[in-house]
Amino acid sequence: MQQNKRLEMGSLSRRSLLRRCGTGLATFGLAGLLGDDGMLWSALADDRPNQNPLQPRATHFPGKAKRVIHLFMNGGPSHVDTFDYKPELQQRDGQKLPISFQTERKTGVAMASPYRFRQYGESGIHVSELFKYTAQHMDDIAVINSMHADVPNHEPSLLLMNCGESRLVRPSVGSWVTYGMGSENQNLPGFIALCPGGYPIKDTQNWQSAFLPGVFQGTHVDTKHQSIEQLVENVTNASVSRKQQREQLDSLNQLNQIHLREHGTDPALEARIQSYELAFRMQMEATDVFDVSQEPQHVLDAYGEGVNARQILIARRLIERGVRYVQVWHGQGQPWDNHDDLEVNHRRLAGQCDRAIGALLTDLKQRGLLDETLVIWGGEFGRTPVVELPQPGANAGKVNGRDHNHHGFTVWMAGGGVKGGAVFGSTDEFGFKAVENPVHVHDLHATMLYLLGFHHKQLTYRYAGRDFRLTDVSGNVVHELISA
Amino acid sequence: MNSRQISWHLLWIGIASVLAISTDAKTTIDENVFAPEQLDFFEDRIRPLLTRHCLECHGPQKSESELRLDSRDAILAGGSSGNAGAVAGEPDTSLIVQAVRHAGDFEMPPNRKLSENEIADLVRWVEMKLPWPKSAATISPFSIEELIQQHRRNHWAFQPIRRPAAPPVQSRAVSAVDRFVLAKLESIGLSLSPRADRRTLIRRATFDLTGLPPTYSQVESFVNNDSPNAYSELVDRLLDSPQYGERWARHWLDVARYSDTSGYALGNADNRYPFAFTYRDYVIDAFNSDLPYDQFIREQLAADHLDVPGDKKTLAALGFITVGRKYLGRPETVDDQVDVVTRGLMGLTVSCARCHDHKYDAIPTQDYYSLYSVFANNHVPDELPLIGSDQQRARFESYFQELNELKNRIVTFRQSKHQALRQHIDEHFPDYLALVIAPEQELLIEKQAFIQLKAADIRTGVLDQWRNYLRKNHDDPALIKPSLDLLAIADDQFELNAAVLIDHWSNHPDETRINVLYLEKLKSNPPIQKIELARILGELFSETLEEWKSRGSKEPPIGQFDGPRREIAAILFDNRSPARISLDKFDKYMELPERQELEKLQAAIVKHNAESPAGLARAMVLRDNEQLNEQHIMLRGNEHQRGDIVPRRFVALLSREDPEGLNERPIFERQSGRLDLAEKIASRENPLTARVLVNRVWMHHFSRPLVDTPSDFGIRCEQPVQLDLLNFLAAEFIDNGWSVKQLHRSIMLSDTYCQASDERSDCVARDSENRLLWKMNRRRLEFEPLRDSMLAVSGQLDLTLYGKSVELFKPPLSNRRTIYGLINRQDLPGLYRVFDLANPDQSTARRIRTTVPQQALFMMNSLFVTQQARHLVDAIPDFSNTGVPAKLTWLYHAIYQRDPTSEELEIGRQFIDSSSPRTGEKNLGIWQRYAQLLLCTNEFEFID
Repeated sequence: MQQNKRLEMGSLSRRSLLRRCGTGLATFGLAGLLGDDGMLWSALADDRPNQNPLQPRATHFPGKAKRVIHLFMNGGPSHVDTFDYKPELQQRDGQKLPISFQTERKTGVAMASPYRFRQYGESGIHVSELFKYTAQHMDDIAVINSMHADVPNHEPSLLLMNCGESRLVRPSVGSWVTYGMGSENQNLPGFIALCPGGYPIKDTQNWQSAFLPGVFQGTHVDTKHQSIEQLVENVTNASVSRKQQREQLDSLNQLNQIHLREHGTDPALEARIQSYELAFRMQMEATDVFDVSQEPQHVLDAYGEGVNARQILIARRLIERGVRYVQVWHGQGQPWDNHDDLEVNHRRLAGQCDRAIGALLTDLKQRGLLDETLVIWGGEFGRTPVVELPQPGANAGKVNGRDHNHHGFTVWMAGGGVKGGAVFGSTDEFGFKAVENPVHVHDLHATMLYLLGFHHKQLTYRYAGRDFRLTDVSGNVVHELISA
Repeated sequence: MNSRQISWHLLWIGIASVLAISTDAKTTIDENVFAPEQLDFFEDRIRPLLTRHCLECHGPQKSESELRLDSRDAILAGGSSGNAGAVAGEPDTSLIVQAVRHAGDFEMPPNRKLSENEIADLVRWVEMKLPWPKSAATISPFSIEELIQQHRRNHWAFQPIRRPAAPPVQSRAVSAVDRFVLAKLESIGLSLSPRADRRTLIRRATFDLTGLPPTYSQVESFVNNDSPNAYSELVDRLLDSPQYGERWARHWLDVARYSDTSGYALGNADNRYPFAFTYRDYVIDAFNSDLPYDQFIREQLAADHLDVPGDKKTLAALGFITVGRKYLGRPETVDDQVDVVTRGLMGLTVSCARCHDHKYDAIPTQDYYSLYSVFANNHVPDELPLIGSDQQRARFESYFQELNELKNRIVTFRQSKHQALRQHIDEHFPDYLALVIAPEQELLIEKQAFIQLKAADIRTGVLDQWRNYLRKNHDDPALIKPSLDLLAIADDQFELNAAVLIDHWSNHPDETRINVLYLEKLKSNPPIQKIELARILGELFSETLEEWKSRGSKEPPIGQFDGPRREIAAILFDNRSPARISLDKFDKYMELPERQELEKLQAAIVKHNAESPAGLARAMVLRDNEQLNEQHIMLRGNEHQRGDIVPRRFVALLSREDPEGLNERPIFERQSGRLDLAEKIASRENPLTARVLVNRVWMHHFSRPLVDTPSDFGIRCEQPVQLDLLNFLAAEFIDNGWSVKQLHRSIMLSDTYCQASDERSDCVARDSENRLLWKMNRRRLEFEPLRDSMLAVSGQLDLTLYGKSVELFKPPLSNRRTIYGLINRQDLPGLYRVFDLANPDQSTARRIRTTVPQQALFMMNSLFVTQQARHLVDAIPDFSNTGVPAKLTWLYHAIYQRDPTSEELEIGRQFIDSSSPRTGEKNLGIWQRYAQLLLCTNEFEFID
């Protein structure tokens, strides 16, 4: 009360209060961020434009994970060929299975995995030869074998996995997380989506901020390119040198100071002045972070060759600099969607990223970053244990691939407070459907948010008369996946 | 206390202090107004707690101990114990707190103690002095009808619009607007700020109305104009300029979620809306011609039901409904239309009632589906109607020629594929019958000698149709019923028992109506496996078909037969039989490769339209379905779970002619009801429409609305401080024939609008957020006026009105105004998000505003800005005699419309003298760099 009285004498707006608080939103917490089309959000954007919306903010409670790398195997990797070992399926190769579920296309008899599995680490988790480098880290990984989603089609499943809602326009996970926590590096975007070659299916909707402010949208970087101009928009200047630009900014500052002097202190004016200095630094930082050639040779060797290796290394460089959320897409379109020639294609795709994923986990651990970095691997769904039957126009009459499978699939997590060496849930004996401890995508999201320090039901945003959240009206935290 | 508790504790202190302080701040304005955060706290934590745990026994039905907990007054009054239920600000002495803590005479709720969090919430709430919304004085699990009554009675925004008398004030007030504003200011001892200087005023008015800066000479002549009418003439001139429509159309396009593409393109589809621009141009024209706003609404919802001029340009208005995202699911697309109409035009969040009754406003789910039905009963025609004059059309001969060719290609494609489908079906009777009979035995099927169809060639659409058709005709006594009888036999006993059954039929013809031809075949070649029935039935069908063909394929086919053959024909040639799939139903049976090819052909038409010659225009209409469908409620929003049927009609909450909020309001009779709906919205009886519009217009003038949530005027929207002003403007707006331009004048000619934007320390102390308008708000240009202004000052701005959307960010860069830039909602330029442009997927009345470094990167590094800097310098006249100061002054005139001060000249001179030299053609010269930095200043981007 005493304190309130004192404040009452001065300026009483939220703005001034926050200025007094020093740490700003850190004390204000999320309460001040919950907004309407302007209402409380205006506390941040409108009344206090001096507040960088990406400034770090305290979460509901201290989470172990401070940042996220989501390795997105878009198209849908086959779980029975990677992290969900099914001896029974191997036995029944070519036989009709006693169970069958509706998927996108017609399917036939059981198709054994063409890959060898073996056990890894003290936990003895089975992993196929496709991910033998990743498998070296099984004791740090929690495998969820009982994931399930809603429908067997790419578009809705991508939106469900990325935005928590398969049909409507809703913010992506990365947007929610940066909205909730801000970012630790103001010289880089808080949420970056790396995808070589262009966009995945559903394009930028996968990292949309929807009704959240645009600053929380994922920044797409086409990692096929190597020169910085092509990686980040307007981050370089073709016609003004760095030195010349510094001269410009110095004079600009002088003029802005005169303007400020004449207009009285106005946080909006100050914030814009600040943003130019931030931008100047961002140019250097962004140029620097995408330049993997600065890495020592042994690191480059560890990650291996190719664009996936490079972008996974970039992901590490980004989170190392405090970027909050990095999504690494395997490639444009839907590379893992192997309706046919699965054996060859899965081998090729895993070959492009396995070594780098293993190196990433090693690297994070060596740098002491793994404890605070949540690494997630998976696609929008898995694939059927049965063979896909030929269909006109779809798979060229080949019968050697697997259809989409949303009934059961695998996602694994590591670091950031995840219990290592754990397997949670399981599919049936053939790997078709999640039967034990099923984990819906909403549950995965609730768990991710929990690891980051959020109660998923309380991370909300008021828009169009309603409080929205990532998990809509669902979601249960899977506490078994969290280390004590 | 573990760390988690500590952080929660800190968070709570944070919230509590904010809430407490805000309360105190508010009390300087109105004793009984709680801060929005406090009311949210009530809505989010306390209302659910009371309704869930308390009201059953302490509410309207039952009030144990004469205590009711359903209104703030009742709680304060207390019950039979004689004590107050709560003492504002004193939780420890409050009865309800003692009761839930189980610390006093009562332990409540009786069966279960509340959680620690819930108790903490209640304590916090009493500490805050029991914040409670005025709009819902009493809470309860009321029936929806009761809620409708209450909300109609109590909520400020649902009251009929009446013009309040302008209050008396001490100061000299020029306009009614000022009197409303001054009354509030004077009540706490404040006043308006002095009038802004002339230069500020012309800049403010010009940016507000046109989104462009004035020129230096315009500023000079205004500053030197002594006429008392100079300012009102300026406002008139600006309202008359075509750039006014471009500026205000953009505000409207935010509400209309305008985009030039439909969203995600599935398969080979082309996602462009080639004619979305005609809607944008319609909106520009509507603002420029000051189309009355009620008519603007009617045209956007139902232009096709109105008398429109011969050129049919008005039809383009329907784009308001059709330019939204095309979702993969039809219900989502319709939902978006309901949302843009209700939230966009009335500030009512009807879409919240899609899965359950609205959580706050009295909008039942049936009302949502009543409106849903209005839009669901429309479709977008395959070919959009041409608009514009016939003379114009004559110029597009080659366009139409090619269009016809493309359309013919589709006709030919459908015909030939349909022909092939019919042939396929005719040739494969046994194959499909086998698949129906033994779906699980694909491998077995392939081994049958009579099977010709390879697995890859099976058409799933045809197979499904066979399956459904046979199922529906299961009681056909001639063929299908006997077949089912045979199929009912267990597999391992089939050969033996089938023979017995066939024998039985042969010997007891009175007990069966089996077709004799079928029976003969069964006897002559008895089936050993079930699957052979497919062969036999297939033969019967094939023979019948051949016979019909050999007799000249006369229609109707069934009539060509008699006797046992006719029984077979009756099945084979039935209208719903797979063998009779007609051309108009063919699309449903297409397989993937055919669909893909059709998509390609259709995409070619979209492309042809997208690349059609300038001047060719079509309206993005929708049309009422000929067959109007009844609409079921979708339970929990699930389209497969049908609830009651609802009629098409307006929401009960806003239908005072339906006093009980039940079923007495009229049902929309004119086709889908779009026109009826439009009339309900564009009506002076509608309490929301005018209020919502004037609030938004006010917002764009003051950078802040009178009602903070411009698209949600529901019960969670507290009565605004300036309610009288809002009501006055709304009433006046309607009385002025819904003239938007007149509304601008009412606002802009007030002293309130014309005051300076400088800070005043005495006012800050009383009203730090300027809710009472003791100054003008300073604001930053949005992206569109920012980019347009750079083009304007560099002399490059292309003032062409209207036309197709243009790609703005690919070189060679366009000089069109930003409103003409192509908006691809599926691949929105990053820059649009960085500068907080409205999301084209959702109706947006108020943009979020952020300041982030990526905005500065655009100003510092983009090709666009550096180009404008080059153009600026190219335009400097030859000042060889007067030198640097004259050049600097010229730049100041062009960019800021004023002279530089000597201090500014000195900064400029130093820059010119000492900057790094130019290094080559590509490098910006020193003057160009200087011009660029002048574009980057706060002065350029802020309007006082």
